[in-house]
Amino acid sequence: MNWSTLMLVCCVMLIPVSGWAQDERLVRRLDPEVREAVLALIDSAGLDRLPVEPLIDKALEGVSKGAPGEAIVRAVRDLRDALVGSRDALGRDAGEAAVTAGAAALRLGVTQAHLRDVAAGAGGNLAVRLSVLADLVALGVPDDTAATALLALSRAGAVDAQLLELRERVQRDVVAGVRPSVAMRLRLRGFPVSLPPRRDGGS
Amino acid sequence: MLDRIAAELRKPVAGDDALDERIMHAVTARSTARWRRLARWLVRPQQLALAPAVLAVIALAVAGITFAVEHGIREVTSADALSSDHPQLVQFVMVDSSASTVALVGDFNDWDPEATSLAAEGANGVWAVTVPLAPGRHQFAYLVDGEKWMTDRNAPTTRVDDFGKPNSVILVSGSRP
Repeated sequence: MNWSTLMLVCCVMLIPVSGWAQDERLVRRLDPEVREAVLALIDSAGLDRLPVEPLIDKALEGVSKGAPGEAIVRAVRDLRDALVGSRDALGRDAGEAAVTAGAAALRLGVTQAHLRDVAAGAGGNLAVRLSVLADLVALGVPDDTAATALLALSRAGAVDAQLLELRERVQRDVVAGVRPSVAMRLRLRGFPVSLPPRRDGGS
Repeated sequence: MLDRIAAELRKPVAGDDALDERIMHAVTARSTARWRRLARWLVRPQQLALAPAVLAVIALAVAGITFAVEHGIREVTSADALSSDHPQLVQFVMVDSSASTVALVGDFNDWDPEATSLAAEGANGVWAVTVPLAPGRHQFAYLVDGEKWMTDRNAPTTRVDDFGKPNSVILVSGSRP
């Protein structure tokens, strides 16, 4: 029995423990050329300890929507860059859900400074606050308004459920035709929140 | 007699001046060859003889380590999720009286158009399905008749549109007011 050889074989077998390089979903659904480019991006993200599942999701979304290969690669790259920006703003201790939510907010135009502002709020779940921030901005609420409101609310002791309720109410108002910034100010009445001046020029 | 033998053995060995040089040359040559020997060992096919029971133990150990590492990664991920890590049942409803089929496609089913179909609720064009979703932020869309991508009018739409077909966003919390 050659124990040196045995140890070498065991070490080689343990190398692919993370599994993302052989993700069966990507192997099955992506063209080889696109898969190679996407896997390179995912591998670099994984080595940098970024969340990789959102990147895999993005590639699968592109395939389902019939997007050309270069669009899929570009989208995965853009998302990876946003994850890096989110992690840089939130710090390496931020959890994967928070980094992912922060990346979504960055891609909507929220600045890293605003991410840090929201992260400075005490208590609750950071991923919830960042997700609500991203969705409020997606609804059309100016990012500085949304970030200021969320920071003030969390410092005032608002719990995650209240932030989610705020998001749902603003959404209902916007669907009903209310301007996003107006909806936001209406729903914040009664809270000790001082918002920045409105930029939309309305009443 | 023995004393004479011992005295002879105790005498210092006389060597020529070049002896030290020859010894150092031989030691150096052996060190250099060690790297070549290692390289030859790595590429030379090896024959390994192991009892089946030993092989089974090694295979189980490798599988166990792999499972523990992957399970650890999933544990960390689920701990980061919004509030509780228990999936919540979420109902998706869309109205389209002209649709023949409606599929729910999103990051929770790998964007697979064949994974989750909505069922027609009567003849008034209402389609619905209830699925368990892990707490967190999810993007989704409806695929009507296998070709038309639709957003949910009752949910925010992500303004980032990577593929020309926007998504809706739903936020699932594990906690309730």
